[in-house]
Amino acid sequence: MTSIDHQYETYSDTEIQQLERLGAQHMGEEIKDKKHIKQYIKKRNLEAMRELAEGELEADEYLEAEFDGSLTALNYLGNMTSAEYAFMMLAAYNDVPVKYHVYLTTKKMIVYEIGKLNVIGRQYVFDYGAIRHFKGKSRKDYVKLFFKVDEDKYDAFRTSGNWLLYPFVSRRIGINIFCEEREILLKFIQKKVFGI
Amino acid sequence: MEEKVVSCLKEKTDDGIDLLIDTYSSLIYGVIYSTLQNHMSREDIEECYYDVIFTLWHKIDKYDAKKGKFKNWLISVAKFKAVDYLRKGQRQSKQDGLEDCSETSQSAEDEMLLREDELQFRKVLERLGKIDQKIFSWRYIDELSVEEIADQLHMAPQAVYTRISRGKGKLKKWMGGK
Repeated sequence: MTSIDHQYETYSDTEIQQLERLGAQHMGEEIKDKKHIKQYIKKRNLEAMRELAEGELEADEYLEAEFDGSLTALNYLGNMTSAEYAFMMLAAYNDVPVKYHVYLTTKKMIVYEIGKLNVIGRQYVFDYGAIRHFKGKSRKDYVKLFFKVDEDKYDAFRTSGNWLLYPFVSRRIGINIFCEEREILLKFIQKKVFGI
Repeated sequence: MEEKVVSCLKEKTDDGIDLLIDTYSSLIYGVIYSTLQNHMSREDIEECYYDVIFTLWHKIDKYDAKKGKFKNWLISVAKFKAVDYLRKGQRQSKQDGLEDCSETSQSAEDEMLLREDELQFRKVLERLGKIDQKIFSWRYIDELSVEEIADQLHMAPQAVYTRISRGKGKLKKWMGGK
């Protein structure tokens, strides 16, 4: 017997075929619906994300709001004078996210970069006091936020020694918020950041 | 195909899920169905199936090709998850039994059967040496990892694997298996 057998229990081809037959015989059509399974995975990932965010809370702190946001163009490619260079260099990062999921607590902002199926990429946890150069602009269909962060808990911001790329990735976050409560969220964040 | 499924799952792409379902959905459903068919509703079995797909996708990094084929790991994950659902279902019916007397006899019977199985298993375990008894109870009752057990007993993990493997053979023989 090899060490392989020691860890995972092994099943004969006959046993496996029997199980496959049993499965094929009893599974309904809806079980093969990949869309449904992907929605389930998204939901479970979101639940896991919330648990993670709750784990960041201190004793006297609680979650006040959460929202989805997309990346603003400004964050990475906004300045067209050097955008082409920046774009080429961004290819070096293989984890540029699809969108953000953000939790606002009484004391801090927890930002998760998420990819498809709500998979968490990088996470940033920082106090409102660490936010610099905050700008929030209301547009017709969305609100645009961008700011710089002095210090985040996990020091997870992308870095680059290249002076062309540096301004686009260095401790900057740009988020577009499309949800209905966007104006309320903007006011809430402004209030926290400026200590109003 | 196995390697392709594993690498796609590790990349956490949509394609990984598609490939997993296309290749292994019958096997996964078969394992779950064989464990839960007489105990749980169709909806619960389906919920368990979704949960297994999520677990396989979420915990793919725990799969170690050196320790066996992906199919074997997949069957173990599905089996354990199904047993979890079974236990949850039994706990639920115990709680329901407090409110509904007709349920009581059924769950008590199940409980008795389970207890008998457990007692029989413990009796057979006693026939193993002291160290092997510890290893089996930590591994299969307390669900410690092989590395944790090896740490506790100041042994190499390989030695623990060997003892588990030999012990399994003995237990099978004593319990009347082939």
